Amino acid sequence: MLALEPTTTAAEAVTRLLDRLLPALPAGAKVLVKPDWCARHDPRPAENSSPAFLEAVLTWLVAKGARPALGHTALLTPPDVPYLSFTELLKVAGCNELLESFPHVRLIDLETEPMALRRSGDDTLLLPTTLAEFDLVIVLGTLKTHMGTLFAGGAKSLMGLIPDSEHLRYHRDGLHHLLAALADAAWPSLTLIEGGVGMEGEGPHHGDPVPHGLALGGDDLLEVDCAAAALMGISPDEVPHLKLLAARRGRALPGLPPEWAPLVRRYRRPNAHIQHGRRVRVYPGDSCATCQVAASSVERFARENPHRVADVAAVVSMLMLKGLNVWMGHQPQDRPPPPGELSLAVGDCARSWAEAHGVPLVGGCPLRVHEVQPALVEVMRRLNAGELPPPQGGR
Amino acid sequence: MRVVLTGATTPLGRRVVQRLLSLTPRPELVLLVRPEERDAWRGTLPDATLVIADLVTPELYGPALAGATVCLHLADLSQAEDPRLLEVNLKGTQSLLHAFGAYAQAERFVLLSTALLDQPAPDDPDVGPERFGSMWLATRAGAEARTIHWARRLGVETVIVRAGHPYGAAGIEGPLSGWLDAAAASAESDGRLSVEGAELPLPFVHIDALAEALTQRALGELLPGERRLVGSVSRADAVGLVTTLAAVHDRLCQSTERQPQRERPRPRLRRLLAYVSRSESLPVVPSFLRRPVVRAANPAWVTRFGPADVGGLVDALVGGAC
Repeated sequence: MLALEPTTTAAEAVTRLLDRLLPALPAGAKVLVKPDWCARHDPRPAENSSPAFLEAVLTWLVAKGARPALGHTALLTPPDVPYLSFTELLKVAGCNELLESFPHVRLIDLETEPMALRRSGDDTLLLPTTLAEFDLVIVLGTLKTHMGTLFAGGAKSLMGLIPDSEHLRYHRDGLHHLLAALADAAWPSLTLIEGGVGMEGEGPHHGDPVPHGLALGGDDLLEVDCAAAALMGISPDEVPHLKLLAARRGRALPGLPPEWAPLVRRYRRPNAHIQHGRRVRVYPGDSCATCQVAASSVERFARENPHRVADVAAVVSMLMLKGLNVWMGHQPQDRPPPPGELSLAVGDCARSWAEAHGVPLVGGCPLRVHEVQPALVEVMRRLNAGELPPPQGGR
Repeated sequence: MRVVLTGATTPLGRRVVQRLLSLTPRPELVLLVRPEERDAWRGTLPDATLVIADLVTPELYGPALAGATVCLHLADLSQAEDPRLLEVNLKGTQSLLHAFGAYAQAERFVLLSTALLDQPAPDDPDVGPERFGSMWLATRAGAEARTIHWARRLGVETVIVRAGHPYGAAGIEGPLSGWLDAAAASAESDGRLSVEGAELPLPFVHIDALAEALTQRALGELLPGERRLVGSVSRADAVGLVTTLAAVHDRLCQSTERQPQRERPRPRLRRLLAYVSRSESLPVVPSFLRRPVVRAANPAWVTRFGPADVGGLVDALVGGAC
């Protein structure tokens, strides 16, 4: 079943949606709510499930006599960086004050829960044993684009169920393939997509807000995600993990209900790069947060080590004067670096691309910040000194 | 019985492996070894399955745990930088718990911890170093908290051995390493040691006794000498102990290893930047030029021993004072 409601307010929309989707929720049912949370301070609109949307869901569940719980894993960090603790995650998501209104909602740090193996086809995945304790699992997603998967929705939000160490494997071994396996193995009872404000462009973190004014949901993850993508002007055919998920389930890709066609908005597609300041372009590809955090630590290095004058000068020169292209993740081989511009690749996923195009690489997987930082600074110092010339194109 | 062992390349781990292999019937051993220590075991233990992987990559070593019923988690970094402590002690333990619970037929989990933790494990699995004054102790406490939570949720028999600092073998690493053996030898007789006039109970244990204890724990047996092996001191005493011994350590280092001061003065610009980055009396200096505090000091330490000693204490506790 699929349902869509305009969002006059989040509470009204969620109430109408859940009244239609869960007409016979038994009192006392144990319900796990899994929000869509990113581990970023100062998140942009639509980057996370909004506290208002979450509050509306919890309010409805409590009113129906259900026993809701809120669960999420720690999200990915490099191995040598502390976990983003669950309490910190609640703060970052803006939910610590909200949850004071729900003292009986159980909070579950899924990172500390025991894991069990679940299989989807030939793939074996680690998922919390806790999932089996609930009568109902509700996954929240948002209408936003994604630089790695084109579309983020309910299936991508499921990555908040897997432990920190597994995130890295997903990005390294084929994000689309393993996302489809995850969605198949952890098929939720209900998927709710929040679309009061969506995100277009360089999502899921750096995109721009799009007022869309709707919320949708359903008991079929694939139907909901395909409809949500279509509402953003993205054909489900273009989203690899949705195509793979449909194939795993032996189904055709569902289309958009015809009566929803007037609600379609054309979201701007993500560029391949993020512009950082005026001189730095970052090409994240399908990289994971370990590479991203490790690469971004160069700026912190410059701030924390002002006494290393030569290194700081090289970093500042590269980032603010000469400019730099930073490449991560599995990049398409037919995408060459801009000729004549300095480029640097980070992480083992970018190795073959870097070797093919003659781009200096700081490799490793998973990247440790304290190991990669000096290596990055060394490469930037050599780039700045002209010892590593920029690619000239045509390679 | 199939037993998973981490930390097998340490002096303690080697002794535990020898004891396990001498049992009848001989258990099947799976040794999780870091890639950089691959050569330490090559060809030496034909009866053990060697799995080369970092603890934080459970997807790589998890399938090798199939059929294992017991896990002895002895990997414990104490002399390392904070990032490595986080990776091995905290995240490594959590990943191992995930993998052992999912891939193995978990019946028993044994975690090696430290007697410097004298309180019950905290509820907070992400307890910070500010509570303990040391990242090493914080990661040990976090590992205990995560292990206890995991054991409760899964119902697996779990033993946390808060062992004293091992002595009696060359190559032992730890916060009190190097000059420890001499001090521990005098502590062995009565469990106390007098250094610089301080009378403090010391959580020391002979490495062979600890190896025997852990082996028995892996077999699920009680230990006759348990009280002697699992020491307990209050944190204040532990800090005092480390303070006193660190002073001895520093003096030893000064007399034997301290290098003369710089042979030539630093360039003027570098001196100026160093002064600016450390100075608190220059309000106009932008914050990004200031050198950040590396570790937050435990307020209790500051009160008791004065701020000037804090850096040395922390260094002594996590190693690398000289």
